[in-house]
Amino acid sequence: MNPAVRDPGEGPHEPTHHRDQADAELAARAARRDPAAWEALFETHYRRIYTYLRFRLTSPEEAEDLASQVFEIAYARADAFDYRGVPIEAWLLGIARNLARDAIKKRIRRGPADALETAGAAGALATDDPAPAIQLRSDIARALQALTEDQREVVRLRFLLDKSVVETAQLMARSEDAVKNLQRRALAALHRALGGETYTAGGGP
Amino acid sequence: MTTDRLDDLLERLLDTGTVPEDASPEERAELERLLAARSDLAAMRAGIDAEAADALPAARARFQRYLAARRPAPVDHRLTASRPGRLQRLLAGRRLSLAGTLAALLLVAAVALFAARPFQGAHDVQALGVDDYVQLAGTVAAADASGITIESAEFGRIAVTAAGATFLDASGAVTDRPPRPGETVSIAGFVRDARKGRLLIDGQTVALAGPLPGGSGRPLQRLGAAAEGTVTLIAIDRDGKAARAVVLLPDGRRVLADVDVDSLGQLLAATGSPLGTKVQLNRPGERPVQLRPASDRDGEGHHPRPPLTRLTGTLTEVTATGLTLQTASGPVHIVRRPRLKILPGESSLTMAEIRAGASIEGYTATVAGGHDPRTGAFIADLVILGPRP
Repeated sequence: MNPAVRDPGEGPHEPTHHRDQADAELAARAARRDPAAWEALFETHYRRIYTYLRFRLTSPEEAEDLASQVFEIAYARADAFDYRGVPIEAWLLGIARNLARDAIKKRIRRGPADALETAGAAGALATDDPAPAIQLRSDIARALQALTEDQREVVRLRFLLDKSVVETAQLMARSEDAVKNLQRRALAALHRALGGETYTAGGGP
Repeated sequence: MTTDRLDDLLERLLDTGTVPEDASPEERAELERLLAARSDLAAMRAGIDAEAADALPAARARFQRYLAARRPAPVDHRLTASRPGRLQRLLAGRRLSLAGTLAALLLVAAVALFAARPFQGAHDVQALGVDDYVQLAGTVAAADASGITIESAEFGRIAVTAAGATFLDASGAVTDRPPRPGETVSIAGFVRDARKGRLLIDGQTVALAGPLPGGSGRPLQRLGAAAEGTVTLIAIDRDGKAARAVVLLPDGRRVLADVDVDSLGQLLAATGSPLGTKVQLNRPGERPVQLRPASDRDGEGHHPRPPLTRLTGTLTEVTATGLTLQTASGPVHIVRRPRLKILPGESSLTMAEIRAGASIEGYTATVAGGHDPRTGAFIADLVILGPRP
């Protein structure tokens, strides 16, 4: 588990060498629960938090609800957030990850119906969906089953949230080389699972 | 071709968007395969980005409400003054007396002004709330690529975004043609901004409607007695726990009433859209009031209603994008848009359970929407669940 994003707000975060002064000031205002700071945080990060959650949940309503909960939980824990160079978004993503994990656990207990990452759930989606993006998502959801959790996290951070290799490495507590290797293997595994030609260059989990 | 070199080549490709010139033909072929998988992810992401943009206004309003609810109350600072002298006390007493007289006069004036002025402001705000599902009607005042502006009897001008809306013609069929200025329309959608003068509705279904019911255009008034009239607006809150309706009375007044959600659900199930339906408002003075269809004793007839088609049956299959409704005449495939409103009705489910993904397969349901003659699909605007058969 990534220590930088686990149990957000409940413990100190490791410092980095790339402190962003503006981010630090915003974090300080957020810790004081300055409403303007929180409105700015919301405007900056909501879409990416939604995207992260939506990638894991089939219900847009639930993704919307959980994305809102992320900011409400963060605000409630604002005074416990210890900003030491870790981007605020990492903290928010950590909360989102925990919420999504809890939601998926509930799905699994109730039956494989709603979480894209629950085995078999993707197959339950219609194959004749009229909306191309949704059908593509169900295809990819099936393909993602072939990836390891680390590979899926790289896919989320690099290709859905546009994180750089450096940021992804920081968020995943891995080296930059490891992230580059993971992203190549993830794309190769996706290509194979999506029915592409046989991958011959040493890819795979 | 080593894996480390491929890692670096891929990163350079992702960074620049072009295959590095020093890649061998074999490496180039491998990179193109990897890029194909990334393109699939990009296409999926475009759909999610659109959803995120769509979800943002309601989420922003929710977070602002959350912040407002947690804003500390202003601290009441009291200053201790030194004891005034005799002359000061004498003057102060007179000042107080004068101030009291002035305050009383101002109070009387304010009460008189309040009693004399229209009731519009406060009730405009109460009639609609952010995230409400709403159905109302109006005349198109302006139209452009982003949406339309309508003039409604209840609120005046309302902006309606129509980027993701389904347009219905007067027969209830799906059409590409947005309404034009001067045409009357019924709108079903979600309230995105409920502030007076800045009303904004995210239109889901925009249907050409018949002539609007008349009325003197008097401002909204609270229901004070048992009444019959024609529904001109309904609103249901996000949690499905509160609902309101505006009803046009025979004498031209419009009343705003908090209505019982179950009775409104039954009316929706019976009509698809209750706009234009004559109803009885029972139990005056009690909230919420029951909303019951009224008989047409006076021969006045119901007002023209939105051309929404109503289907009834049993939901046999539910996916992220579609529903299959088993009707008396066979199965009907129903397109489920991302923000489709599903009301629990008599299903025994709660709105929270539905929102969290509880299965609605096997329940009876009434679906309101329109047929698309080009695809044969039925595009749903609203689903009201019923009990399991």
